[in-house]
Amino acid sequence: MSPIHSILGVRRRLLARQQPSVVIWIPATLIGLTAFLPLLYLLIRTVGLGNDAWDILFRTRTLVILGNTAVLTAIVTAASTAIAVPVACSRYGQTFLSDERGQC
Amino acid sequence: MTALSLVVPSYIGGFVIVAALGPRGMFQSLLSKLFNIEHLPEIYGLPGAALTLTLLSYPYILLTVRSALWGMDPALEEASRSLGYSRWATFWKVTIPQLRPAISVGALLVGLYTLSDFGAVSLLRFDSFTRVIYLAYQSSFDRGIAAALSLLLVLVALMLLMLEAWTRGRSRYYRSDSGSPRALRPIALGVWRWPALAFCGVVVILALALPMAVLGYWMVRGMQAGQSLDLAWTPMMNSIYVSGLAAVITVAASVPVAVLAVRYPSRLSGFVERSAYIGFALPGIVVSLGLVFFGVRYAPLLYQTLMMLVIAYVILLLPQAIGAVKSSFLQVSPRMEEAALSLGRRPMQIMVRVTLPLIRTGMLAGAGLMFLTAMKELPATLLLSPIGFKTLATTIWSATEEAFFTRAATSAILLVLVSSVPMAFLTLRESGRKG
Repeated sequence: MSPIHSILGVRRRLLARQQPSVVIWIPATLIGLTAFLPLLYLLIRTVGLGNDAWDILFRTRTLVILGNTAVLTAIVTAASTAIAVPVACSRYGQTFLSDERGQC
Repeated sequence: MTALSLVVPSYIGGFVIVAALGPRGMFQSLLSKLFNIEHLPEIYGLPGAALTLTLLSYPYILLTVRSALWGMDPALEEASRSLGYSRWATFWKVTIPQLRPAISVGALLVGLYTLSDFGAVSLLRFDSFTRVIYLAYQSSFDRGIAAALSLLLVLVALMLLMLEAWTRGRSRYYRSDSGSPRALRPIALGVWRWPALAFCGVVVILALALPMAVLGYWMVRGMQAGQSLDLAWTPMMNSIYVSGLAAVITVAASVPVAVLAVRYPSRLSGFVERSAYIGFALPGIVVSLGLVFFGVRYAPLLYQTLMMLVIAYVILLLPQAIGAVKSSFLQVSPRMEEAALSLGRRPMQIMVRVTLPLIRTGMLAGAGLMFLTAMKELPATLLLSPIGFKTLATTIWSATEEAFFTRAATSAILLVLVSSVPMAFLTLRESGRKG
């Protein structure tokens, strides 16, 4: 093969690279779809309940659980912030304290 | 050191709290010996769950806030002081607003962690979504309810994500000019040093020393009672086997997605990548419940096999794996691949001979992380393990539920030991790179 032909060959293949090969995109798409699988089946199952689904969602018990979860999340987030921010600030104070002891 | 508690899975945290503060726990037996006190305030329910989850998840905020503090320009605080604000006012008006994005990102992580947590809430018997979903699923008449509640939980998680984006708002946090970065001056804490130190001390004791003391205490008691380690041996091998399998498959599965996302950006590849990230917002119990429904209805051959459990792990771990593989992929110059192409190699050969060796370290580190996360995973393991297949995680969980504290402690110590191996490997690699 003459040099000019081999260069053309490389260019052609470089252009072909713009399209992913089958070996790449088929598994990638399959993996993307698999990740959706659980959500899809929960949806199917819930829709399959028909009107019962609405009854379940608007029962007092569901609202209690929703409230419980919300309260827990709020408390944990607030308490974590209350612990973490002072600890972070005091730690950065301390580190510099030890670095530049002369100035303190 | 304070960040170490991130390594402790929530059911070990729950176990520690139950074993220390619960009925028949360490604290109570101590008090009843000393003061004849028979009843402690109830630890089950909201107080216990909130305490456990707070101690486990505050490092998320600590880490984000700390890195934001390091990047902050002290000139802003100095300007505020020079304009006559006191230290306290400066802290509230200048420092805190600058830290707001870091706090809200950390709080989002904590919120998502709390929403999707199953181990702590189930051990401490607090009826939040994950526990109710699990109980509804187990009672098997109510599986439809479990599905509906799972979808509701997903909705709540999405709302949390949107809330975080909303609090961040449209403020700008960068400077209009680059300025000159310099080190922060320390603040002399003076008398305040002692309360500050005491506060940090209490946190460290609760989050670190307490778990170790509790685990050690029950382990020693178990050995005194002549309990052998054999009970935990099979679960440990099972844990290692299934987590290893999940780690390898997840990393392998993330390679095509990463290749697609990095080398062929298009609408389709963007969609594939985003859908692979879905596991990040889905609690483990939701993913595994969906897979249970799928398995029972459409894949009875797969249902009740290890493969099903591994698929659940892969879905849950994929976001982490893609992140790791993608970041090392981005460092591989496409020129390298083009050079191989010009030398007459076919694209697949290039993939195997050039690209994969270059991203090998990134893949290994990713696999180590996946292994750790899979080891600690509880809800999917509980729902999807074949009958009779026990891992360390499920052993700790069921032993704590039945108040077999010694067995739980032994397994918990084994779990921490086994997961510290890849952890040490990862840290060593990190420090080796710096040196």
